Amino acid sequence: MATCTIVMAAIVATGGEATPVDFDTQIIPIFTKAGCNVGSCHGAAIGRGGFKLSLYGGDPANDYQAIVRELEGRRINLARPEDSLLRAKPVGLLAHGGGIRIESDSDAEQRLLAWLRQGAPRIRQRQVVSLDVQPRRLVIQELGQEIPLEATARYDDGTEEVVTQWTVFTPNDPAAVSIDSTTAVARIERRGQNVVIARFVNHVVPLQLIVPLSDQSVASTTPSRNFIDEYVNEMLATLRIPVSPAADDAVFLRRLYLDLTGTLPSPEQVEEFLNNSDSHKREHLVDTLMETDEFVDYWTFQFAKLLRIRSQPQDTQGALTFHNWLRDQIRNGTGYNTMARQLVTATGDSHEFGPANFYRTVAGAREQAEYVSELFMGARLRCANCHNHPLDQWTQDDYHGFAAIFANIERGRVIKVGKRGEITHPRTGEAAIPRIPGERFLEASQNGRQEFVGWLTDGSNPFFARAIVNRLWKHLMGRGLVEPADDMRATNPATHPRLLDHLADDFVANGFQLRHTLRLIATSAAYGRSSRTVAANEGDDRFYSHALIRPLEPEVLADALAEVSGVSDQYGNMPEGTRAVTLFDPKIPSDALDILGRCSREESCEAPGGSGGGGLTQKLHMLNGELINRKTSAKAGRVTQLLESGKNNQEIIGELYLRSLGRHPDTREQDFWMAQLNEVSSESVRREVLEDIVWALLSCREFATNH
Amino acid sequence: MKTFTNLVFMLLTSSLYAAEAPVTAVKFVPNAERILVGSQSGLEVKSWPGIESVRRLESELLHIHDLAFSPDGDRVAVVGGTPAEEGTLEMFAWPSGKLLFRSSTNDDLIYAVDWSADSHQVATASLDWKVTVHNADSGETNVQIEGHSRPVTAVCFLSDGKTLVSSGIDQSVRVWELPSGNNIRAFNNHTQPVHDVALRPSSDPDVLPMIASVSRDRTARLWQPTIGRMVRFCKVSGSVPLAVDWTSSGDRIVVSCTDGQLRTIDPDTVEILQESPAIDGWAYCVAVHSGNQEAVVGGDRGQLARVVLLPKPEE
Repeated sequence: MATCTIVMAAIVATGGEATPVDFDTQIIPIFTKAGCNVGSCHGAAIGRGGFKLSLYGGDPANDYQAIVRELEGRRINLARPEDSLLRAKPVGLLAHGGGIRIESDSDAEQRLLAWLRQGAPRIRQRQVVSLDVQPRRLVIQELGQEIPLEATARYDDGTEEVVTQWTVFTPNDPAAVSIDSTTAVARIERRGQNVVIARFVNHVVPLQLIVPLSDQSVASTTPSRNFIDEYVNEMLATLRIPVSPAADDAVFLRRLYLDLTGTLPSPEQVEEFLNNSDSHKREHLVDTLMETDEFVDYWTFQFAKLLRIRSQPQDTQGALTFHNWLRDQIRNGTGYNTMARQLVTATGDSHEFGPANFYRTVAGAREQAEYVSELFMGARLRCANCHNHPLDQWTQDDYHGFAAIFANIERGRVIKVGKRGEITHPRTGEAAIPRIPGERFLEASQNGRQEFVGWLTDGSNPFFARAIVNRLWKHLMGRGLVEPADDMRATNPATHPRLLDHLADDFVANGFQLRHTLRLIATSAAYGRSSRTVAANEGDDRFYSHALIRPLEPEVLADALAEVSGVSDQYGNMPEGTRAVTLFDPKIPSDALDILGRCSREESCEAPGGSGGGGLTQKLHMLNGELINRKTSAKAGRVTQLLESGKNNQEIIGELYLRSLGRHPDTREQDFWMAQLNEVSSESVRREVLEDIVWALLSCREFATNH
Repeated sequence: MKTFTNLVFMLLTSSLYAAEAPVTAVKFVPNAERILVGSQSGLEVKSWPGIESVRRLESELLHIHDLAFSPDGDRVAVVGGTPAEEGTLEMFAWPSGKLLFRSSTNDDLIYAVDWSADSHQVATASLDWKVTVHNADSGETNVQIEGHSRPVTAVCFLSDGKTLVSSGIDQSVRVWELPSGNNIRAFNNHTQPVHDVALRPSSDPDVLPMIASVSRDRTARLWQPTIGRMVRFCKVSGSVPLAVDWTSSGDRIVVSCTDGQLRTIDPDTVEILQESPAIDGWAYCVAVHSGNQEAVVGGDRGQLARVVLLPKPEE
């Protein structure tokens, strides 16, 4: 009551200032607009010049203390407001390391002074409930056209206000879009889909400003097989990007085998598919492959990476139990929501109950919170450890409150819920209150993990389904609708937002079934396109006008090398013939995987380079390393098998192509190799040439990629 | 520990107009019958316990952050200045209030001041990271010490007049030897900026001096600066202590906090003896009446409050 009295008196006393200035929604935006609270200035983790503001004004309460109360009010002067340091520095009346940030006599300065004259109060008069920015999505035909942007804030008191002047508009690519910060007029300098982020207070809105890549409209005959194609084709038409034709059957077959099973099709399977005239043979193949053991192995491997299944020091049994449990879930088609529930709520002996190992993946409660949010929500909470997330909605309350949910878990071979355990909130110094991030605080009597997973796996959850369908999409299409896949936020919008939403809704409506969404994607026309570009779609790396060429994962490549060469690799004490994708532990010794690179699963395998593969070392080994040379020259290898089979040179070349590339050699290739073989003078030389052919096939880009 | 809301007398000293500046300095005058209050609005003598305006002293300081009466009671040193421009010491004769000198020795606000026991020197702590020892008669600088790595927030003389203790945003409490200005010790136990330090009153020269410090890390800590030891510490749960004073008998520490409360702490047991709401908002300064039965707390929006101190319980 005392506070209210004082404020009302303030309004009266200052006469001309009839409307009290609201700190949270009218002062903080000044600092954000002026760049005072960015990470390179006072918004840095340690502040600057002894003055620390929250990043982008994410924590108005602390900012208020820093401005008004720290050092006994050093930064403001309520007796002589115009002499306040808070005004003098940014306006340039005093030397300021950041230079002049606010123009004299500007609206910003006048508002700042008005607030100071009112006694620098902070009474939370209103909160922004939404930010509307127009145009949200605009397609224009010409570069250089001026686009006025307008932002309107809606408050919880029912009022709304045009806040364009106080809104920060930031293009994701400043070279593509220029924005006059004073007038908020944008000009597009580069064709394509350009994203601009509008920020006001704690709200961010992504805008899409599109200029077609071409002046030529694209053919309207782009095929469509399901709703995926409708969204993809619509975007392609908007951007006027022509599509590549459908991949031929051989390419599609190899692609599908690799994507669904991590294996290469055998020569017999290639021949059978190529000779099949059924118009629905592609859809049938998708269904067939998803029922194979190889599918189960491969998707167990994919989720083992996500779940970071690995042995613990002196303990491999837990990882094996975890892996076996995961394989059962994949084989049985357990809903992803059920899997998540079992993992999050797990307790017990990790040697006997697989999901209990989920709590042996990371070291502590904070790490668990980060891991769980990245895994199941596709969200990076970790920034909110030190400050409210600058680019997302997450606050320190979310981070530490979420960690508090896991604080009482006792980790060891047996996972138990302890009686005690708390997380200290760094801002308050007190125990953080358990909290479902972005949602609500929990009562002490509530089971935090149960409450969280109930919220997480509810069909209306905005994160869970989107995170997993985006990962499935990325696996099959080569790029997530959101990239990186574990960094979904408003300021990192999807290339096809409505498609992502639709995929997520469809996933929920179909029982959180992984196979359902995989089938949907694999049977789309977008998935089935050739990777060969046509004129005007060469530069497309995100709109799916052509298939994206992807390097094979190290484990898949190792298995493919073994399959084509006929020489398997040894993995620790595992039985001979064990495939790399079936290994339950990335620490199992393997020269091949060490060379090809593999994810240790200590950290996320989704980070750049996290899945291993590629890189100079691998390429050099593939060209002239022991790994390939040993396999091509092995006495018990593929060449020996083929020579002993009695097949002629043409048949041998044909089989090698089918086995490695999933296709027949074309005439030029056939003629080239036949010419080499026709010149041989002995069986030993013939063998050497065949080994060279195998080497050439294993070393070529077509083999090492899924295209 | 008990909360005594009925023992607080909230007396807002000025009218409730908006721009009422926070009270950032308050002390009882030597005869303890009035208080001298410093803020961005200037220097004002107020009655006690009525807390009504008596007269003003003509200070030119834009910001006032601390004041201290000389042990002999004939002067009062007032410090502050203009942020990021100058730190100034003003010396007034007491009780006349006549300005004796004004000395600007620093490039940023002077934040704290203390007198040597012989009334010949004053030491100041300033936000330009310096500790300065002034001649109390002329204001001239005797020693200027640059040892803190961040702004210095508090300073106090030990009774020997040759040792200074200071604290800073750099989370340290430092001990200096005079006149050399050599750093004897640095205590780094605090984990956040240190807001204030105060010397335990004692007339027994054989008793080791004891310093109390308060910090943003929500602790009050007790030190023996001459032997370099942290003796004990007390966690102030739920709030951040901003200022500290001792009862003249040395049997209690009195701290004012960001929740507007005054807390008293037993220095021997570090038990919080009393928690009393004083003002609404941050309580930047506190001073204990020489009678040890009451204290004055100053802070946000010009608020001043009289708080009755409970006697230390009998053992």
